[in-house]
Amino acid sequence: MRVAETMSIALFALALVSCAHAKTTEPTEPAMPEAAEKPSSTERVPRTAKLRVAPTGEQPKMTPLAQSPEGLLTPGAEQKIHDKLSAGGFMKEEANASTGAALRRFQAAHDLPSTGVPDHETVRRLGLNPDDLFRKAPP
Amino acid sequence: MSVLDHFRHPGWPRRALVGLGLLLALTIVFRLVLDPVAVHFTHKQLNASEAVSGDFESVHVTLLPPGYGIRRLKIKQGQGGDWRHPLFYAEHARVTLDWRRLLHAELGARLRLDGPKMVMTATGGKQKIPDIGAALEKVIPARVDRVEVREGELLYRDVTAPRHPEFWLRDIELAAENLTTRKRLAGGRPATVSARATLGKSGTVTFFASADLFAAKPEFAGQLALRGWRVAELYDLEEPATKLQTPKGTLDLFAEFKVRDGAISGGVKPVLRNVEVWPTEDSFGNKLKAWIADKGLRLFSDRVPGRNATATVIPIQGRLDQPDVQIWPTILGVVRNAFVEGISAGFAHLPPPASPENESVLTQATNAVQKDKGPPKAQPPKIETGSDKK
Repeated sequence: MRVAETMSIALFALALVSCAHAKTTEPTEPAMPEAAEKPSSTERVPRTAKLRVAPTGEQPKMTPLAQSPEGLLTPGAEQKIHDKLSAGGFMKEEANASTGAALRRFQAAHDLPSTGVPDHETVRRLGLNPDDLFRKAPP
Repeated sequence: MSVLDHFRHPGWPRRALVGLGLLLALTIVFRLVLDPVAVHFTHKQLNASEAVSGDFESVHVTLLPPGYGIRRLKIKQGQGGDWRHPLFYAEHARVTLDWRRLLHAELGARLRLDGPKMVMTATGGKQKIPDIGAALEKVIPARVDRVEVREGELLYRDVTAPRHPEFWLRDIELAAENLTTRKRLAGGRPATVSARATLGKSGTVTFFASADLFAAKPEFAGQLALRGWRVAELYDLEEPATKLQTPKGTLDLFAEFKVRDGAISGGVKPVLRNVEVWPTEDSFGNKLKAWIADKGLRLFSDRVPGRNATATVIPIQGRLDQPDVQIWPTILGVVRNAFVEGISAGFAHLPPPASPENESVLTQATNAVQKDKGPPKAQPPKIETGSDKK
């Protein structure tokens, strides 16, 4: 078996174990209000797993392609990014200071590739929600 | 029995401690074994094919977050390759799994390359270029949906040309996102690639593209810009062919493209500023050639002081495998820039407007010299059919 497959299986298994462990340590059970609502120990209750199952048949539509990075943003998104960069001290005081240069400074400061383009990871690190800033596929 | 009853049981601290100890011991054993195992398999995979050989300084597997890193990775040509001049080198290559997505039962990994250096050599088909991508894929332990490159370098060398001209892209910063192979995981978002680099010693390159990886035929759109590249860096390319040199001046280049259903549309806008042409040989013929080229550039420049830009917009239409680079709108664009309206640097007039039906060269020329008509239009593409080929 290839090393890639072996490693991925091992890492995935580890991650799942860690996730499961994290879930069991959550203090949910003591907070249950009524013992009467709990099923008895002899009853088998179907597990309501939180794993998402891929919907069959229905595939998400694709956001239209854009020739420029701005083409993927929602109206007002550039201003939100500009405001966050200003608040973080990454915008220079000059009148013609560009958002791209400020983004590059922000990305370099956060060890991201300094492309000057607002990608999802950069937007997330700015403390903004990418789902609000990037255009979605038309319904 | 409630949870609190468990804690009231007198033996629970001991059991918990034993459990924790066991878990700790298992983690330590696993941790000690993991790196040597990873080293063994990485080495095996890198040297699995005869086309390439690989080597590295160390491999490190981390549990939190789950990840796998290779330090000082080198890939060279399998036979006759030189470890001092590898085809690919990365100071650090690291793959990590995304915790946030794991919590949503989705497997998403990111690849980070620090200081990668790659050499591509055009050999004119004499020698097969090894597939470095395939070699890297073998040692990456998961499918990646985000790639980050920091401080990368790419050297393209053409050994078939007389002076072996080189194009060197350095300080490459690149982020590629949403490279998922399943449409559901893409969430309706296109894959994107954004990059910034320096070409040679002077040019700044920016690139952006978005692509639908799930379309039946290639679908992507994007733009590329090169700003302030000193044309003196073209010496190795232009001197053997023309016996001329361009010691002064800069080139800006802007391109926009869109490919849908295999059909391409877009344009390229080169802007030459303050370019001077000199001869490299002392002969009369060479001096005359340089004088004509230099005067031609001056004649077709917009004569704006300090800029003297010769520019045009080259429309590109047609199929992706058979693009039609249109000559007449290109030439008329040069004329228009010189005598009617200067073409600005940047993405204005890109892509060029398209004419709904074929215009004759005379109509195109008449429109090009009228200020209110705008830049020359892209003509409907000439698509070569099977009968044309016959």
